[in-house]
Amino acid sequence: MTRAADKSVQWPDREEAFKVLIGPRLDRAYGLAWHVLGHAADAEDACQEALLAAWSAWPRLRDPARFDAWFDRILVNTCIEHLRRQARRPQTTLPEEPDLADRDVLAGSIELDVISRALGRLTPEHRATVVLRFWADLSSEAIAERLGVPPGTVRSRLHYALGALRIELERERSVR
Amino acid sequence: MTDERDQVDDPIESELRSWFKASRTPSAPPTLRAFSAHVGAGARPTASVRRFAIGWRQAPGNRFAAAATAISIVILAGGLLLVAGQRGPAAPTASPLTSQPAMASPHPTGSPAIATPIDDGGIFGASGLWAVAGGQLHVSSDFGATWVQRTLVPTVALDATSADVLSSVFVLDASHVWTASPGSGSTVPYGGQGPGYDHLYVVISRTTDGGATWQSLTVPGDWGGTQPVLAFADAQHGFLLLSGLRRGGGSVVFATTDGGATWQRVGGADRLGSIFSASDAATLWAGNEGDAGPVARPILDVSRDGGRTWTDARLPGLVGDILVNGNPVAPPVFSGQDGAVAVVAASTDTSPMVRFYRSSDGGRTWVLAAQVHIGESGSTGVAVVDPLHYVVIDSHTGQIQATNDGGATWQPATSSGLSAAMRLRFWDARNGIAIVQTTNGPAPAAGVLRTTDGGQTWSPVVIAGPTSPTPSPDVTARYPDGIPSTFLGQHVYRPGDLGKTVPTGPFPLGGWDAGPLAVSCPAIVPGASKPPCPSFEALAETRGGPMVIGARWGAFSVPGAPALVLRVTAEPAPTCVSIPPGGCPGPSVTVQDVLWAGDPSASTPSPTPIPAVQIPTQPPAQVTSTWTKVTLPTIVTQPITVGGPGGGPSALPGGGFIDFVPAAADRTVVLTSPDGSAWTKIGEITGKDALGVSGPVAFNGHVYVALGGEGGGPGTPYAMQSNGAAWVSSDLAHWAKAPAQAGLSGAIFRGIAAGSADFVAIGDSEGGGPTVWTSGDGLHWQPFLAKSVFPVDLSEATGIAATPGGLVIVGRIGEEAAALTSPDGRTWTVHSPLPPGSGFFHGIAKGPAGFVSLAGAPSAGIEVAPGDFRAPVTPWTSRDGVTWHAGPSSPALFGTYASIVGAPGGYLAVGTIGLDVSEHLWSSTDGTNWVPVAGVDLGGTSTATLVSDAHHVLLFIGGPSGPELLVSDGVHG
Repeated sequence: MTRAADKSVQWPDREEAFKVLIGPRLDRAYGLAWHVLGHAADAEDACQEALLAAWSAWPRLRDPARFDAWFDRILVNTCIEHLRRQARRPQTTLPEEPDLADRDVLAGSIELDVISRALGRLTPEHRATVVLRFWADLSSEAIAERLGVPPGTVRSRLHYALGALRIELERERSVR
Repeated sequence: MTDERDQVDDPIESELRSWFKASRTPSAPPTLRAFSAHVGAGARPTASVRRFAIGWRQAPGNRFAAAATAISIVILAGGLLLVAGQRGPAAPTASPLTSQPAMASPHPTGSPAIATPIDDGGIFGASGLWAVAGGQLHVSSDFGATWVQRTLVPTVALDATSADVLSSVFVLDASHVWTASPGSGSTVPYGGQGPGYDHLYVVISRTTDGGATWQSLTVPGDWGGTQPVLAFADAQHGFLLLSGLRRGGGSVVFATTDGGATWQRVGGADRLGSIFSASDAATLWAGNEGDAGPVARPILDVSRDGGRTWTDARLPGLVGDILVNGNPVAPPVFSGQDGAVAVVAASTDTSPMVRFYRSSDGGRTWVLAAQVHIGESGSTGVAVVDPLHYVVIDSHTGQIQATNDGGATWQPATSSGLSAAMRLRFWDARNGIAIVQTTNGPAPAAGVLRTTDGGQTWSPVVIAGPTSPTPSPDVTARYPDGIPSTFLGQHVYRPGDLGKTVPTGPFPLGGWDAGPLAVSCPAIVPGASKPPCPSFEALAETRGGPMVIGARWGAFSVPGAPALVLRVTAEPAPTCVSIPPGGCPGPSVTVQDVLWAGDPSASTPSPTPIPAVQIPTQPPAQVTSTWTKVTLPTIVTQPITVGGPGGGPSALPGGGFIDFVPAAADRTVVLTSPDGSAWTKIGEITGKDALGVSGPVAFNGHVYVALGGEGGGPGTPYAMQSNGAAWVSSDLAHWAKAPAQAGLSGAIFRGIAAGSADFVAIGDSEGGGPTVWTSGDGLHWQPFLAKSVFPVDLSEATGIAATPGGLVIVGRIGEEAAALTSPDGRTWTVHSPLPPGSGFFHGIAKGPAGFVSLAGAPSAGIEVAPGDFRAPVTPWTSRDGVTWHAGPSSPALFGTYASIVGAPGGYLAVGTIGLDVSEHLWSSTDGTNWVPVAGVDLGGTSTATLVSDAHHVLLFIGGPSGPELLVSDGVHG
């Protein structure tokens, strides 16, 4: 029997345990938020918010071995809520496009812009699902745990999200 | 078991993977790293996260602060809470305010007095001080000069790490105090995950003798996803605000007119902030959570009818580029009709500032009276002493400013030395306190400084009594031999596997690489009306031998609920160098024996039979239906076919099928088929929203209505958000789109039926949860949030159908199955036809035996992977939608399922079987007895959907190689 890596529940210093757990995961957390939100500053906001929420709930995490899924869920929920807040605001201009300047990917690539815009037009839930699947490479079950929905719902969301992306990409490419 | 990620991608999936790989993900910026490093030490977000820069919210801020270290303080002022928790320079030094006498140092040289460290939370009342130090409650009635020890309501924990931590306290005076705390059965209080995840049963306790005696009552209802906050106008008139958290479903207000002996629900609003106060018995204020970005929601709401209705208090100027730092710094303070309120705000190009608003008409109108710039950190302590007297301290620099003329003139900023002072509270112009960080001991702590001269001099507050830290109450459970457990897991276990070695999936268990075990909660808690599965926890510990797993509910607080302790051995998954036949084995758990069953708090264990949840052996598949693959027609201009990204085919009422196939960016082709085999283009839908139409379709004898969505792009009312939409046609060829309307904001439809008067659609609305919409013409829709229509929370509406008497919706209310019937779609009657714990209805189909729905109880099932429960599924049949009869729980139905339809000769359903993640097809001739259908390979695809027009059945498979469409003429034995 192998002991899971984390023993923080036995550590007297919860603060230290939290830091040890979150430290190596910060880049990934930021990347996840960055891809879901498509904006560097928003991603940082979401990460900070999620860190605070995670810290506040930290005493209730009974199983630190589940930290990844637990924190991902907090972070993804934060991102989705962030996107919803954006959507609720009356806007006279287009939603902010993803920070393409931050993407060091032959920044002039029109194709990347196209996909980025298409992703940006998905619903928050669909976008999060797509990122968890194709960026984080998680299974439907793992995504389900992070989104708090049944795996069937994840599969359904992926289906519709991919359908919507197809349409968006076709629309984008048809006007080029 | 096939990992779906290993399947061959379709082009869009490959494109996405490549794109994500190419778009190199940035690393966390240094500011985020710095923030992360200080989270446990009370870090506050940087300026870009203004929402949290100032926190009056007790939770999660309170819990965050309290759990962080012992430096945290909660100030309660008239029921309003301030949160501190920021480390910073300590030992403030004296520094004079310009034009004022010099302040005395809080730590004068040679003075032995130091501020008493405050434990996990301090509570300060309006006219007295209540503080927690050394795990004890202390009360001061002279603004902190002297203290006496008191007993807090015994059911409330003072340690914020406890699940039943005190959540809100309102101190009216030295005698009258009310508290709110989570009651038995509450789970993850204030976790913010919302209803369905959080359960909160609010207990209100009250004392009229300064804490000598207490009385408690439980507020009816489950208020998961809310944060309770109390406010009292006087000893008789008080209010409980259940402030909706982010994932919550809204805010609710209860009121009492007898000092808290009885409470009545009086009103609420979509979302009210947790900064809550009562100016009088009718006027309430709720400070809202601010938005990072242009402020969209009210920052301050007011009710002038005792909490029944709420309106925006309309603080001017908080629009456009103004960002609001979380919350109003303080609720309005009134003297007669004159009032003042403070808000921390910033524009995108200036540093944060405190804005003071004044009112001369009781808060009906406000004007900006003054604004004071503070440091970039946005951390500040602000005290609105009275409508004219304000004090501001920059908690980063310690600079302090004050005014006594409503902001017309200010004493120039100077260093107060209270650079670690996070919060100020003044009871009058002379008496006040500041919460500071101290470094008196080996670890930073929080302390209180008090002033009796309006802030000119400060002295440390010393509280006599024990000051040792509160011991951690992490685990109070004890095993039968009395050895306390020190290890907590949170998964459930399957006692039915007693003596068996159970192959498990690879997810960690209690910190060990074990696997999923499950237990049937309802069966283990005989007679419990609400089996507390959501709060089910388990203990896992090795203690040198086999892993010991104990199960418990909450804090053993469910009366009569037995606890369960199993002894198991767990083996991790081996490392397979090469994959052996049958695959590399996963981790396994062997349940050896039941160590103990009974209430751990009882002296005599009471053995309880432990029923098993067995994974049934599947019956052999049978060829009960024949399926023919349909050659899909290709739309001329696009390689998109029937079943493409339009949602798939829909059945037409009366017979036949329709499919809306996207053909261009602004064009959808309408195809129909009489039998699902041959498809004919009969029309087109054009326009910018043309791609949104998808189905399902209903017909009321005059017009067809097809549901779908709109938005998700520029020019739509809700920016990126997709909204529900509807299209109407009288001939299936020409369709008119319903106008964009607020009632369909964020709507995702699940079903539609035509009632006697209206079309009725079900689904979910963004922020509103389950929703029913009605429309007389298909063009104009009226939403009814389920919570406002139905007497109890309808957790989910999964199916709708027309009945001889009207309409029926099936779904669940919480964890109970529910059927709701209506003669007209507008008035609904709730039926809970299934025994508690039987599961809930998932979809409804009409066939030869009437209505059939399959009920599964996920919480009672086996968790094959985190969040993926497989459970016995019980078929239920009904002739009228009201009276339901259970069939046997068929082995073939064990699992989950996605869709069910009525078909000629019986019923068909798609879902998983046993522990397999792949979907399969089931059939039944009577809706009760089910068998797997042979000869149909869904190929492990991620989606398979059934559609039936009662004459033919279509099976739409969305697979990696593109959509497939199969057609069948029904079930044959």
